[in-house]
Amino acid sequence: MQDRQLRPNPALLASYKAKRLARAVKALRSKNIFLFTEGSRTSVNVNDITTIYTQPVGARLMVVGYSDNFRYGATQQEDGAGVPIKVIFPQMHRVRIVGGKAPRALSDDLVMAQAGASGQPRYTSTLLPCPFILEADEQIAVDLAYDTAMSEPTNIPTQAFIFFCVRVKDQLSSEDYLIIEDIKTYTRDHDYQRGIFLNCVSPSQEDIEFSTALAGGIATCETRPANGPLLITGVGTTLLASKLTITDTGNGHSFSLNRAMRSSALNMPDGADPSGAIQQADAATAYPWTYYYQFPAAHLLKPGALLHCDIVNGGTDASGNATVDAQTGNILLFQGITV
Amino acid sequence: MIFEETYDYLFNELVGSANVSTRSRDYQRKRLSRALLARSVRPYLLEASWINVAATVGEANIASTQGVTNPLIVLDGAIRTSAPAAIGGVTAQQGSQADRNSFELQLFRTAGNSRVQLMERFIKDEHLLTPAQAAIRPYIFNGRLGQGAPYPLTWPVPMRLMPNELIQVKSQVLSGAGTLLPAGSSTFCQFRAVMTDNKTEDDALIADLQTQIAMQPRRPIILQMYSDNAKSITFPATGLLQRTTAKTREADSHLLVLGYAALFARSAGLIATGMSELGTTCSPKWRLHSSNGHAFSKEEVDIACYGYASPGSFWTEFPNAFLLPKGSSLSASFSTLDAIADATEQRDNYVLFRCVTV
Repeated sequence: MQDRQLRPNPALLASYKAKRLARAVKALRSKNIFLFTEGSRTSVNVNDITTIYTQPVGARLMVVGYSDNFRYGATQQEDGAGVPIKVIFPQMHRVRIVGGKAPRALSDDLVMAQAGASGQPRYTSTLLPCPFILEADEQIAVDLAYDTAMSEPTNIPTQAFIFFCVRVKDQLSSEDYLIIEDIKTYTRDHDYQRGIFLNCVSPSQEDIEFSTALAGGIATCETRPANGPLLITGVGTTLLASKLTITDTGNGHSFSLNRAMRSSALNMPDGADPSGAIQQADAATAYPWTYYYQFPAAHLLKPGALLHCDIVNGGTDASGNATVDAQTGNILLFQGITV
Repeated sequence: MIFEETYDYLFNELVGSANVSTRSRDYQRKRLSRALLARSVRPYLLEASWINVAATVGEANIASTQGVTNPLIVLDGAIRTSAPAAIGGVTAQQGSQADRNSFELQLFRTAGNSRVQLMERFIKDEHLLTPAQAAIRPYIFNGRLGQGAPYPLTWPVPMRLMPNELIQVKSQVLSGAGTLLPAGSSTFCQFRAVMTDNKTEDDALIADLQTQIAMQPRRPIILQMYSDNAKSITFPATGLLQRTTAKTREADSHLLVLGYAALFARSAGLIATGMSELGTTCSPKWRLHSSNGHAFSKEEVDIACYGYASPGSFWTEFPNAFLLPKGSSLSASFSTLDAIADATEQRDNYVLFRCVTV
């Protein structure tokens, strides 16, 4: 050991700090955007195709992957209004890019909902083989279809999609340069980074608590303010039947552009139990990493800022069954690292 | 690698970096290099399989891979046992409980009259496999996609297999395995390899690749296989010994095929019992080939050997990207080793290929 007091080598330290600064600036330029859309087919006709669209963004985005709320295998098909669902009946979809000068498709074929899964968030997502750019005048269209000659499911399920995108700033503002100075100061004063968890809780509570135990109950929750610049790398949640928005109060950035997205598409719902018992029952045995979702790009949380979430609980499936998260005891945990 | 490379390039394009033209040249050069490498280095699968006739303690089996005419670079291996019935509450599909603690394995490489031991002694298969739990939750053990884990027979360095050499696998059923290993089950030992062919000269193809790279940004493409007159891979009937074929569309631009995801349904009856997660019971085998003349294996091989155990994690990465030229398609023949139980297993079968344009 060169230094018994574990002081780092100066050259190594300088290089390490330069990398930290570069990563933080890259995060400052990057904004995670989650484009959410959902819908269901309007007919039980096998040949019926319904198209749903993501909202127009008006900015160039890099699309890195997407998730849906289906996975394979269930005792029966259920509605997708709440928790992630398992279906044995192949619900098909096709992702197309429309609206610009060069309409194109991710696939010429209708592919199954579980196509190429095993990206993030794990079982329910498609990690694209490579990212692509969605132009400012383009939207993502998803064709929904049902595909086989087998018997039609009892109910037409709702298919929910989240497209994970990154928006990149081409110009830094004067405030951004001030943040960079903060980052420089922080990295100068701190030789090492450290991992942190930011728990998102309802006011005066230690967890997320809904206003009622019924569907439609709302909850607002937030993390503690960052005491220094932080890189938020991902989120873990036990919420399965809720819709939520995530907002950075430091710059007003809404991850889903103020559109509530299904929490079920942000996590891997049933890793705990391979036997087929899934969904909310798993919340009791869930581990944070079971539900962890890594953001496409690290999010820079500036000092004093916090992450605020608005959550609406549950829904009702086509059979009239309520699908709700528990009123209390829900977890939403952000993971990060100091710059 | 392709993902990160593209991400960095697009990030800089969106930032509008001053040196974007230099980055662009480097990026385009990398794209061409990858396409040329994929043209010369093609994925190949080898398999040795055997039937555990009685599956009694001490039963020994010897199996070997098919002979090849070109030299191969073998990267790693995977093992899976097929068992159509549920055993001890756990269904032995796509590598799971039944694979564990069932065999001792010893691998040889044969070359003419000499035999080279790849393993000096028998090794218990449990040492080669990650636990069954990993099959259920592979992401905990291995965050990366499609490395052949959780059933790896991975060598520290790739191994070269010369023409007419074989990999021979000796297995011996262990005591206490009988409760997990059913009589009549089949075990597949599969190896991922690449076949190199640096003699393929096609100036027109190279020029076309260059044109495409200059004109089109790299973008993701998903190809799905269909049987004729069907929207999935559909077998003609239920029952034993079913065969079918399937193909993708013709590629409308030069593609790099990075790997595949194979999801073969299980019967609705088994799903109802809550054992739906581990893949099909009919043990489908396939022989994949491209219409431009490359076969990915010499004979039909087990389709599920390398996939993770759950349908949600069934992604298998080729050891090297495969160049699918414009106008070509991928097709495959499929057969089933065990019986197809019902219409779900007969029809709800899918193979998807993850691709990028070169």
